[in-house]
Amino acid sequence: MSRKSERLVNLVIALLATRRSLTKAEIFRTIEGYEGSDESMERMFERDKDELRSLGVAIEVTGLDPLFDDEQGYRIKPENFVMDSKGFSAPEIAYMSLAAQLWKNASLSEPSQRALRKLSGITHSIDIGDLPAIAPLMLSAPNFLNEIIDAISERKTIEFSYLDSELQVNKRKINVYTYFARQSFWYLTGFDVDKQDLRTFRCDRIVGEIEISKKSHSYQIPQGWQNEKSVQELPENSRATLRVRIGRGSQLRNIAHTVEQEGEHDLITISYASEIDLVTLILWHLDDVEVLAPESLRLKVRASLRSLVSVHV
Amino acid sequence: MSKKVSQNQVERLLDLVPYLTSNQGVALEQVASDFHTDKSTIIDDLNTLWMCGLPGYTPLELIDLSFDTGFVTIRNAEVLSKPRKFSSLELATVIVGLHILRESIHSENPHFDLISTLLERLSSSSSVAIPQSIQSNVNAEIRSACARAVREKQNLSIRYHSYTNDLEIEREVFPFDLQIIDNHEYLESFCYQSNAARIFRLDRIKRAELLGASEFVPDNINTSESMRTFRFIVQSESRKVAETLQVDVPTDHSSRSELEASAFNDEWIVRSICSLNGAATLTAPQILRDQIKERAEKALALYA
Repeated sequence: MSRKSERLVNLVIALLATRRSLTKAEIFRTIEGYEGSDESMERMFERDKDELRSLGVAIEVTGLDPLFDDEQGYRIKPENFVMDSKGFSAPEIAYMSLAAQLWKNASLSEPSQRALRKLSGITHSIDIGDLPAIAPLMLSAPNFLNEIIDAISERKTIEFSYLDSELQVNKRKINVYTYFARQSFWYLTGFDVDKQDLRTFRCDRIVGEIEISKKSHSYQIPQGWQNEKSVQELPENSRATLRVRIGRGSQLRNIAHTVEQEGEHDLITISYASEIDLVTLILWHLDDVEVLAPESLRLKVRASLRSLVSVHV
Repeated sequence: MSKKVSQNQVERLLDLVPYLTSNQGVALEQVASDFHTDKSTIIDDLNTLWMCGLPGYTPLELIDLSFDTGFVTIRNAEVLSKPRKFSSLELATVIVGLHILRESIHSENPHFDLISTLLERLSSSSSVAIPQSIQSNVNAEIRSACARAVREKQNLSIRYHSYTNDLEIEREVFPFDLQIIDNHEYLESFCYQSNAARIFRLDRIKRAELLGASEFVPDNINTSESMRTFRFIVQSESRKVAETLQVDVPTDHSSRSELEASAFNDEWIVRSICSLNGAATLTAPQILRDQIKERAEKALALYA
């Protein structure tokens, strides 16, 4: 193992240090570790190149002589290899290190520790003091977050099993467009290949692993997709008037447009998008809240209360 | 939970050189811990690196390492001495991490603008998928007041929305610590009004005011609350029921069998079942069934 590591590191050093591209013949002659027949050295070199590429080391291939296009040269351009660390101030290095550190024991732990390792190779490190040491959003991040990021970056289609509202498992096939975190949940949004429409999924309702197709660039993210109707949050264009007991209904008061006192109660108005969600919230408050308008909402709440009584008699 | 950092030796060797260059004289143990591996692996790495250098491979070209004292110094490694570029996934962890970091501090905090500028620069120079938005449900000012109170052992006056009882209450507390439980942030404290240990969810603290250093430092008392067991039947929308009542609902619940769960608080059980709007019916205990019926009737009276 370490003989091979040695050869690979020597290859990196030689290709980085050279000012002009090196031919294979030069590589085999000068770099320690290439031995055996021409064929076996060729095979060795191909494998080495692949391995370095998989580590993110970009080897540039160039034609050396315009008259002989079969003579190729190899080198690693320092600007493609080295982090532009001069561009970062000391506090910026510290922020990046802290950002990477916060993933410890959370979903992106592995790549973040590698990032941290690289950052520790930059000389200056300072204490930035008063910043949080824990981040709950990281703890709630799905363990496949790196795969989502990879899928979006590489435009790879993903497949996963998703729990529907009756906890039945459905296979979904999605071209992912974006991901986000709201409250303490993580979501992904993308084009559902089977349903031919945009959909948003809550990551904790995904069962098991995500499968990523091997093929990259298999879709495009249309410009301005966020403006499509199906993605926009439902417009909060319905208005309700509620009578709320004074000192109660904090969750409703938080979203109220107007509050007007009326004896032992306040009259409040709120906007809402989903009637079902609002009924849920109103029922939680039991007799501290009464719906005054609209009539349809009033009737729904009344019917729900009736059925609650009848099934709990 | 902690994942092992992938142990590709070449990758580690390439990262070791810049690390050692800027941390001359670092102890072997420290290197091992920073690279999440053991000391013998690092010694093996150093022995390998020793054989590396520029073509020619005479002492003039080879990397010069010394570590027999247990502390590592490196010379003659200029070509590899600068840290490598981030891979796109590594950059993503930094970018998402910075988003979360920025979200957790107040926008008037001087770090906020610096982090924003950095984020803009990192995002614009790469094609890595960045999050559309990161929103926490805790007010950054409240969080920083609580953190400061914990750090400086100051008493806190808080206005708290008691979710279950739907009441806003004023409390004076001595804070012990900030905690994360089930993805929510909590303040563990001693509450002077209740004369007992109390835990408050940060996103429900409406106001937090520092009252100065506390003269009295209470012990962190663990009070064990008693749990109430209840039984229910899922009628529909089983995912909503499972998420609201925080229980596992078997996927084949269609048999309408009775399920059991427990909670700290009767009021919470009553309100949760009501808010589920028929998706679940409480079957036991009878005393809570009665409460649901009575209180739903009382609410219904408003619509008479």
